[in-house]
Amino acid sequence: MTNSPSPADAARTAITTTTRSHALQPSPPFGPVERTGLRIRLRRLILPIVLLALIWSMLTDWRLDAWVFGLPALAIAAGLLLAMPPSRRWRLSPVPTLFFALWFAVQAVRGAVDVALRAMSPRMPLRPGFRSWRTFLPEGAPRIVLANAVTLLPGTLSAEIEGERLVIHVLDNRLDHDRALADLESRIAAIFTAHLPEGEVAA
Amino acid sequence: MTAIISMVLIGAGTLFFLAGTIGLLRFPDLHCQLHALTKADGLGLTLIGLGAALLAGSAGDVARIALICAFAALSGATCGHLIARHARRGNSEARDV
Repeated sequence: MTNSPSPADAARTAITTTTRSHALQPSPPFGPVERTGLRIRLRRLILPIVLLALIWSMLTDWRLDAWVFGLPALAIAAGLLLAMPPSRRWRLSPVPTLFFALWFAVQAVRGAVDVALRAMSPRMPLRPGFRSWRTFLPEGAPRIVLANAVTLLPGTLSAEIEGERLVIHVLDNRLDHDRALADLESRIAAIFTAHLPEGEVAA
Repeated sequence: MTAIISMVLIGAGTLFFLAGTIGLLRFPDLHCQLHALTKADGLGLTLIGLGAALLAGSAGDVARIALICAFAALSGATCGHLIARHARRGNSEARDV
């Protein structure tokens, strides 16, 4: 705690980053949290590395000799995390996350059944096309979740993200995808209700 | 009983893989083929994983199967997006008129 930045410094960085990011993206419910400084970034590596080590141990049945491959992979992952620009930290709200997971599982099954039936139907009912969708979700994790979820939803595939614009390929452009997309967006927004405020990460 | 349920699940998973492959062969363009691969194969793997998890001997096996299915779904969606983006950018002069 002794060598963490003084409250005044923290406030100043918070203000500058806030104004900068708000210029890019005026979505009030999601305030930005950006942190700088190698010390803080190194500290941020702890959780991902512990998580990755746990996953590797589980995959390899806790065998020690498997670390011959695990350790270099972990080192590369840590290096990549350091090399990439720091992203905002989001807090997941547990109950909406659980509901989202259940809802999403059902949608993914529907999507798979839909495409399987289209593939096997003799008429092969396709009317493919691209469409554009402007998302209100903020940059970072929420948009990545959106892009990946769109791909598993019935009839839609995310083809490109350019800022807040998502290019979506649809299997059947006669269908109305707007409602499904808006529904998905609001469900994702419900998961990422809060970002971690400045200073709370250190605990 | 468990064996029967797991056989049904694995059989259904195989059907989805079959459908995904049929889609890959029949669908007219790359983007439609990606729909078949990402969605149908993902569910196929998950169903086979569920069936295998029912037959698995230990909690460790179940956890491994769950991890593999989760990572396959995640990487499938991400790779699908990357391939779609690459294809779109490559054809953008021809398509976006």
